[in-house]
Amino acid sequence: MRKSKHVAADADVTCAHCGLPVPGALRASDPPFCCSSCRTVYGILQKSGLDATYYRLKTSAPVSGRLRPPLNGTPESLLQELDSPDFLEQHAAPLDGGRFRTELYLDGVHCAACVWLVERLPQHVEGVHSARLNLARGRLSITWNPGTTTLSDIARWLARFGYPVQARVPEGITGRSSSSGPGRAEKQLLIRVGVAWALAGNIMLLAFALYGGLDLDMTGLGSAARWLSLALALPAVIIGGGVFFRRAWASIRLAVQSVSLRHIHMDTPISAGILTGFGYSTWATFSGQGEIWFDSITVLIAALLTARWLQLRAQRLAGDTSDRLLALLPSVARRLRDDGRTERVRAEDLESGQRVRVHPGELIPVDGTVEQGESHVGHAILTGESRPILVRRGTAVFAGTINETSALTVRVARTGDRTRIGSLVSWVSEPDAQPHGGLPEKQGGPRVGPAHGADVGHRSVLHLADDLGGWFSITVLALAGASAILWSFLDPARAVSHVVALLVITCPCALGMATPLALATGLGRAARRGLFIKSESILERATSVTTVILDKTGTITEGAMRIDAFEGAADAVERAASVEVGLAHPIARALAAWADGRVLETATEVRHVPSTGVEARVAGRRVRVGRPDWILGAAMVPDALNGAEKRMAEGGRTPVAVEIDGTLAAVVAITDPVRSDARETIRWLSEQADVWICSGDNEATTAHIADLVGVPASRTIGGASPERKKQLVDTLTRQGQRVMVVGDGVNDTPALRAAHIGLAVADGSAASRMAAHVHVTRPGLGAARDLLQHSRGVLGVVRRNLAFSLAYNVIGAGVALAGLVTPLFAAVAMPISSFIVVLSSLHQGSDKP
Amino acid sequence: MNVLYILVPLALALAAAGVAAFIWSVRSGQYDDVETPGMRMLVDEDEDDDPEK
Repeated sequence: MRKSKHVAADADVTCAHCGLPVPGALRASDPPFCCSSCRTVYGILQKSGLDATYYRLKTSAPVSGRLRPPLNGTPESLLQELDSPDFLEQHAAPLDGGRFRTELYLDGVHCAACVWLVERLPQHVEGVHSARLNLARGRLSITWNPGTTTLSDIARWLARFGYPVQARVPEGITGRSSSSGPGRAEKQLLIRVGVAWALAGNIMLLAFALYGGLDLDMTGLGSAARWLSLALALPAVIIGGGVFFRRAWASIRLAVQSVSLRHIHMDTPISAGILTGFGYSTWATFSGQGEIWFDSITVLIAALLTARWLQLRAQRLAGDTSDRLLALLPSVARRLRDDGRTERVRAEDLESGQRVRVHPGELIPVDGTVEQGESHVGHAILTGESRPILVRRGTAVFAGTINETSALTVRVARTGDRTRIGSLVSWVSEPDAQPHGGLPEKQGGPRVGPAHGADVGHRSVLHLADDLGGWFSITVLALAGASAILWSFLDPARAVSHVVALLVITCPCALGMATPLALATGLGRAARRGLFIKSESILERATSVTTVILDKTGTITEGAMRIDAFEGAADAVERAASVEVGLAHPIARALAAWADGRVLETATEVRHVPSTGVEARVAGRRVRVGRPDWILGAAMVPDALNGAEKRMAEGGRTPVAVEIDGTLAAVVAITDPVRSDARETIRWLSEQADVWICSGDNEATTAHIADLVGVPASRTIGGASPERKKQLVDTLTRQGQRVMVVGDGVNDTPALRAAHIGLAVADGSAASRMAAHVHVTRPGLGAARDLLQHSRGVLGVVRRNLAFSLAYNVIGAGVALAGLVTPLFAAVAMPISSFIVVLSSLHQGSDKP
Repeated sequence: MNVLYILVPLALALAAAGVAAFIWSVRSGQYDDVETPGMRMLVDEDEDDDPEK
């Protein structure tokens, strides 16, 4: 819902395609559309006879989120690459009959109707054999015959319906195994989870029989059940328990080497509990006397493995975005040989000092300097800026940017991971992004703390369980010793079984699950609300934020220029729109948006006066649109419009004058309107932290916006360069503040990276999404509030879980010392404690705004 | 009680079959995408449908 005068939207008039509110000027058309891309898609659907099913599915399975078709199409460079023989060779798998299979990322897919439409490909494009869409990840798996159709034609077909192909799926671009679906590690862990539960379930059935008195009634059957339990528990301990033993062993070795308890983590007491229980039960089975604990330890193994798997999975879903950026990097390059000829090589085989040719429309494969040629280069991937920049001999160019106009020769400076974009990619895969506790396959070792300077030496509650590992082990051993001494006086015959009971019951099952479960559910819930959090430690950092720095454009404001008001004749504004339609300038776009849906006359003899205005002929009359000082110098000003340019400039707006045949006909005020939720959100944020506004826009505009949303002038900085923004972050950080930067990505990348937490809001550049710790799929500031509230909720659950599990272990130890723990007691108490932790983790509903 | 000598191995065999099926399903990627197939079901199988399905 917008607040400006001319573009007000009612919720009751909704777009026939996407269902979003329709701006006032467009409401007259039947059916109504919110934008031209929706109208286009609607038309194409109708023409192809696909509309009935599409809209039926759309209403039968409604979804929230961004439904408007994305405005960006498939990049031309990608279309070229899709058709090249190298693509077939490197990224497609040949099948029989001359067919190939590959995977592509699609943008804009969000509901059942999209799945249906995309999977219509084989019926509508000849040569496509099958198309399968993975909705959650936006990945299309496609089989086609390159002899009949080209991939670029398929991409164009998809783009017509608003599903531009964003990138190929990076299969081994940089040698890193990119996950096609869940990674190998995750799948193997899932198999272990399944096997562990199956074995545990069967052992529990046998245990029920034993608790029920099978042992007492018929000794033969009883001992058969024990032996069978042993046979089933052995693989469970080896397959499932192995994960814990390896990590525990590594941590013990490290602790011995460094003579420090610090390295002992939770896997050590877990392993000790499992091994003691298993060893004692095995002895009991062989000797035919004593208790068996097989059911308790196998359930424990299965539950702990499940928690680990959930954590790994949540981590992968959050990490998907970095895959996409990787996919934007070119995999092949043209190396220029000394004899002047070029050869195609893999981009990572290039060395610095060599030269590469980059044809127009191609991605630049390396960081380097231009040696020869002059061209425009699009930096959208790095900065989000869509306007290309002129480069010539000596200019530095960066990997991932697009050479747009003419061929360049580039001398290679850095390749692969050492390029600017490559270092971002590897920064993302640093330990910070690793799941808490590391991958199970990873050998223990000291975990590298969060990568940010502000956090060095600060151990978080997220690692509390692991940090307690050493003390936990010592305490349990001491208790076991105490129990042994106590019971050897009281009842020497039962001393051993009481000690074993203590070791098993204090095995930190709930404690081991407390943190990972709460975090995994927390990340998953955040993702469903459009918050993609890069690593779990971010959740904790978000609770300590003391300063919030907001970028103006696109964060507080809508990020798109709009006509706020005008004085003078409406038809003069329409003429101005005729002149400006199709130009890329923000003001031209504002006029075009205002005139969308009106019939415009065609402008001829369009002449562009740089940074001043445009001049053209419309319906035989000379029209000039531009800065007031340019127009007012020569034009006649009617009394009614006297001083209009000053009135229109009030409140941080940009005045634009329209002159027709030498007379000033209208003055238009153009502004970037403040988002409807900005004021309220900033008030909320101010209660939690200091709020700053730091914008690249000029100071007057920034000050005006700050005033509107209630941020004091002392905390407002206008005209800030990216360096200045980063400097502000650094200064505040040195003053001991925990800084959160919220930006839409245009030039915010350094600040986002430097901050305690960087939050990239929707539609920013790919690089800013990478640099940020959190990125959001919906526009506006609400996400910043959501993040703070959500992380507090999750951390609360973590603490609740930890407190409960510690309490459980303390009570368990007490009961065991008293000699009251029997296998039956453990079999009931341990699953219940784990179950309570699971329930507590799932119940995070209280953090809703 | 003699029936146990048949029933217990039978139960174990069933469990083993379940585990084998589970391992197959993980390996063949049945859990890679748990969202889209549910939506695909909403689509009526028209006569012009993909013959390969």
